[in-house]
Amino acid sequence: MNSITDLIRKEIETLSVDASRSNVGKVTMLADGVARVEGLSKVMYNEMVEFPNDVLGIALNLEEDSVGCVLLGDTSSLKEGDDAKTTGKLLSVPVGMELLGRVVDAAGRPIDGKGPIEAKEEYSVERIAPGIIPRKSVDQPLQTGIMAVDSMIPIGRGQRELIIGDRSTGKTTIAIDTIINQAKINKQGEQSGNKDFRPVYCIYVAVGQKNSNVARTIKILEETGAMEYVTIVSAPAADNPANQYLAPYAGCAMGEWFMENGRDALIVYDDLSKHAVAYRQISLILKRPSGREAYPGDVFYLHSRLLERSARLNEDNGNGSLTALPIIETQMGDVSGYIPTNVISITDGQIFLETDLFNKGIRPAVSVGLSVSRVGSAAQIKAYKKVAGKVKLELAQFRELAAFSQFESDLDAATKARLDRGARIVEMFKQTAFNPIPVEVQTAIMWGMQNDFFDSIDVDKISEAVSSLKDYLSAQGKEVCNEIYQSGKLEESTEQNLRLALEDWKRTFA
Amino acid sequence: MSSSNKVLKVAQLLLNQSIGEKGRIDSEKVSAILNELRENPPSNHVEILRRFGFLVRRHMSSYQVNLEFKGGDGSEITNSLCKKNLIDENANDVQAVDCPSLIAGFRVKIGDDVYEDSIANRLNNVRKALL
Repeated sequence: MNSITDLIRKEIETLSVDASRSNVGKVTMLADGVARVEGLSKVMYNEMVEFPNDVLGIALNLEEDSVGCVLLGDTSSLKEGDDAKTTGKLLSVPVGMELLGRVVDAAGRPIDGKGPIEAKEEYSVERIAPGIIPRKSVDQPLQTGIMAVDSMIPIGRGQRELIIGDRSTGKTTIAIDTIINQAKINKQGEQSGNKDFRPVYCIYVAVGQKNSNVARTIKILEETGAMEYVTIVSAPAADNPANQYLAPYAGCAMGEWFMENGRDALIVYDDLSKHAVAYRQISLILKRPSGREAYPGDVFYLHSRLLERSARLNEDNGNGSLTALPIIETQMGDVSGYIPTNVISITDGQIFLETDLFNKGIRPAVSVGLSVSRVGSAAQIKAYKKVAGKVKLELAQFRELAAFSQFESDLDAATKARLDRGARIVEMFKQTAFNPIPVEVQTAIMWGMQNDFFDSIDVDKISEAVSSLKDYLSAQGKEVCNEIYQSGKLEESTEQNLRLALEDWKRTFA
Repeated sequence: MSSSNKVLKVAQLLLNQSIGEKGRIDSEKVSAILNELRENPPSNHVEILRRFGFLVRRHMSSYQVNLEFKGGDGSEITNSLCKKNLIDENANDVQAVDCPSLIAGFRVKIGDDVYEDSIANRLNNVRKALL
């Protein structure tokens, strides 16, 4: 009881007792989470506006005789004629390590029932992206744990890599796998006691998702032990469009804290198609002029100003990074839609997932031809670069030859060999969901493929062989994997040990 | 010039014509303008009237002061606010109203600006801080 009264006394002591000054207006229209307010002549753009019953809004449209505000939270208690007053503050969210392991809404308020978040700092939701001078080119790998991605479309810390594809093609799975892999690497790095180890913290922003899907994602992250490195910002489909519009910016502010404090972070925007739809809804209610597909004219800026905030900072600015994995859902595989082309042009590459491949059982259903990483092999460790250099070309050749070979009855030996190799690589890249593979194990498997260890195995048994090799490497082959992990290179001696280990495995597998 | 721009411009001209002494709206001038508009209605008559009405309301609110208070005397509070240069008795029309919901203190509204020093406001701040 005493502690409660002390707390109240403390709060009262810190309160200002001066006369307060505010700028007020009257609500003249309310519709779908948007209020039009007459008055508020001194309101700032993006300023938080206070409505009765502690409802908050953000001033988005400043017109000559009225102000358009998007409302956050439950607006059912508001009515025409209500007062609205300025707060002098821009929308801010709590940031810092305290947010790890928590689920918050677009305003940074906890929604996981684990009590209040004792964050020491707050960041404004809308911030200017780092300029040219504090940036550095991307050269450190961010391992996704997915062989098809890490070998052919490597992602670096500070990169923006789009994950694009139709519904139910495994877009979210790739993002979740990447988060799980970061947690695994973080744990491994912390256990190793390496002072130079830099953990990657993750933020998952769910925009317009079903609540059941968000709950499933949380469950997976908890079960895999990744949740302690993750913050989830949730603005589900049931939330109002204002929250869905703000959630990515709120998540980005949380990620920027890590970047600006010399740490590495990864942010997943799942997904920006729904984000654009929420923004279109707000814009149409605010009566902003609409353009193509009824999106407002600034829909490109909506995403460019968000994704430009992901960067790799140089040593003078703390050497931190924020990597972004935005997700876009296409319709019938059409990548030439308005929002997909916008985001493709903003990001540093894309992982395109094909429905046909997914239905054929090739999962992850990464399309080799349409996927690209503009950072390239700069974001791969030397050992991996050595074994994965030719894979993309081999696989692309395989896909092309496979299409032509359907019309040919007689194939020459070289073509047959290429088709054979390609089919094996496709099988090798098949991977179950939420089961990322460490980079040293990936290197060993790829090395085995490049050095013909899989050639004598039937194509339909390749997946089984890869799985067996993984088990072998995590048990008997630990030493050679450690060698690759520690040095990051494939020295002659390491290759010799790898050959011995794989020969040993081959005997047991056969 | 687009029709909406024309409406804005005409309404602004009409407002300028309606202003009398001390920068206040002169009701006689407003009546004369309305009679003239009725007799010779321009195109966009309704839009012009609506905009003119809005501008007049906004201009009037810039010099009308609503003082709500509880405890003390309204004129005393007005005098003290004048001394603090918050309001000017010559330039502003002060309307003082006793308001029990404030518990004690005052609230002054000039145009869109609200200055408040009341117990009700402080209690509200405490409530917000504790939530």
